[in-house]
Amino acid sequence: MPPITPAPTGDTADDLAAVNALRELADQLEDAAVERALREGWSWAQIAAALGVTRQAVHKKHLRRVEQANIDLRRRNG
Amino acid sequence: MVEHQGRSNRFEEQAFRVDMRAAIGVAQVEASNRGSSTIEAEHLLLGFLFDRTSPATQALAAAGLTYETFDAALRAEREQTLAAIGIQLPDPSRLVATRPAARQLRFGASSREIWENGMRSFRSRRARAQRPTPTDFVSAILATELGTVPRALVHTGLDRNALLAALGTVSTTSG
Repeated sequence: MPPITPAPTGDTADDLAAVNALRELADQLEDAAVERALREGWSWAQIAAALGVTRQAVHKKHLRRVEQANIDLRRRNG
Repeated sequence: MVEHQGRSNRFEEQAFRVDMRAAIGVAQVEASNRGSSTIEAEHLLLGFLFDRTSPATQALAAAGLTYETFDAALRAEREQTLAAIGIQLPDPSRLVATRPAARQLRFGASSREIWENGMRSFRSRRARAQRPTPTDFVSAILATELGTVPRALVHTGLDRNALLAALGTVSTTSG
């Protein structure tokens, strides 16, 4: 097929853009909800279970970021 | 300062340049403030537009594109894009989170494309200048065919070709 130049808007472009926007929204929602859970006293294991991922994955993704927040991360089971 | 053509000259390495430093710094903060994990083309454009005194910004403002109009357009694009699949953005208070330091953010895929396109147009100009100017990169951003930037520009109601033409009037040595 010869190359085409799709328009940035239209059904297909809109759906692809929606995927991009959903990923952004999912990331932001995850950051916010994980932090809120930690402030409410959730353990890393509980957050991971609610997210459907491993504890290691949550740790890796969020620990560095939330260490800068004012949350007591000591003595937290799992 | 001698530029080594063979070495990659990505945005990270350009941040030291006096004429790029502020724009890249603002782009980092914009990405961070918007909860993005990477710096994308739309953040770079916000960064360049933030300096109202730059020749490129003044040319674009005269054509109707400012930091404020682009910021509003980005928001409108996001809302419409998600609404089209039935998603309404939650209250902003549910998206509040501690952000990583802005300077830790990496440049994303759309930034890399802007870099390459900006460098390509700079070389094709056979410019007498030693290196690309901010205007080269702003042109590259506005010329983007697909993704968030052209979609947001649709929301401004401005003619993209008119914006590029306005940039064309900016001196290539000062811009």
